[in-house]
Amino acid sequence: MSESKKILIADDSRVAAHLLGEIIESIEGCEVIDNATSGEQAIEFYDKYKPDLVTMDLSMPGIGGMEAVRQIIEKDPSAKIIVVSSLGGAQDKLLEALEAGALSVVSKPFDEDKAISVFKKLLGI
Amino acid sequence: MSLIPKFFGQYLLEKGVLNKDQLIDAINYQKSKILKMGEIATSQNYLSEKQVAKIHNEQKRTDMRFGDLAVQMGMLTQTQLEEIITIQKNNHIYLGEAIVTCGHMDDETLEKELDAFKNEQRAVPPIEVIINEDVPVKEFVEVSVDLTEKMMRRIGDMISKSGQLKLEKEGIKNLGVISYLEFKGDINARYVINISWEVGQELAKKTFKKEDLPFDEELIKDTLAEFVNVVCGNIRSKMLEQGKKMEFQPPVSFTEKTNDVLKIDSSEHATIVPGYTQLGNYELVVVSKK
Repeated sequence: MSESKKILIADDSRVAAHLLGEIIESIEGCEVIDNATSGEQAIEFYDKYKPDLVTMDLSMPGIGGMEAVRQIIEKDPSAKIIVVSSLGGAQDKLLEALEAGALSVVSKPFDEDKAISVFKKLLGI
Repeated sequence: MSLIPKFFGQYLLEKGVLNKDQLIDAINYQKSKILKMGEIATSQNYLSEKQVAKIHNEQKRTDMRFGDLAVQMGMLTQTQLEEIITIQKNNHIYLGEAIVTCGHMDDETLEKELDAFKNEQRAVPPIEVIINEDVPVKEFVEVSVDLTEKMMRRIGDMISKSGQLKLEKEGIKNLGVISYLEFKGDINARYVINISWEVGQELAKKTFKKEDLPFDEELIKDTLAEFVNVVCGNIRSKMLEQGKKMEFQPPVSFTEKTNDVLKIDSSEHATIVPGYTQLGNYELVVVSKK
């Protein structure tokens, strides 16, 4: 049996992290390894766990999610990061995150089916 | 069905029809085709090349948009600026067109995806709110009411209706839990939501999809903060569509036990929009500087 995929959730809202965790763990072969609650902690946990995927909320305390995406990608250009956005139709922020190295986006409030399909696609499962 | 605004590129990306490199490529192509304000202004003989250069130079120091700065510097009138904006809008190419031109999709697929996208976005019409002209930051209040009601429906499964607006000068009495978020930028305002415990409990139950969720004040407080995050993210996008750029920090929440009144500074206005649901009441408050 293959090893399960490790997902790091970076979100300062324990509600959003819980909901995202339930969605992720409903996918066979995926486990949430930890929850970072600031941009700085997301970088620290990335180094510590080397996860297969990171979900990154953009609006977090400290340096925020956007800067965390930049710094993680700078260290590891192959990092897989999905932006979790409550920014609705904000093309500017989404484009900035994609250019910083994020691979896709999942919108808040979560649409479970769409989120699962984005996760599976990026994890190749 | 989607109750929230989304731009076409995000829809295609989430659906997996387009990958991120293709989207970036198409957006950059689209951007490259936008006529610059300075170019339009010179072609209309409103500005000389020298004046355009002067405005660009000033922009480096002021962080203002070209048009606003040109008006402030007395080089363009407001009417000329509006005309330039209209010319710019009428000459842009749509993202779909850019995607096809860049070879990332054929016409037939684009048409199919556009229909599906429009259908999703059309699902719920905007909520009509009548707000008097003299209400401070009127456009922000309108968008806030619309999105708060939609999210009450989408997240909390509660049909809510807004009541008569009122202005408050002293303080907002906490109905149970208050969560607020400060916007800074083209509009400086505080989005505040003040909910009863009944509405909070229902919001938490629906958020966690557990009808037997035990009553937990901290959980309700966190759920409300996340609700505010989602609503405000969408408010930011809507305001951006209207040309207003705003940023915000994470929300702040507290219960009536720790703080029974949200104070209003004497230099501020508070516009209260009462909301009624089948389970209890809430208040949406927009606080802005006088």
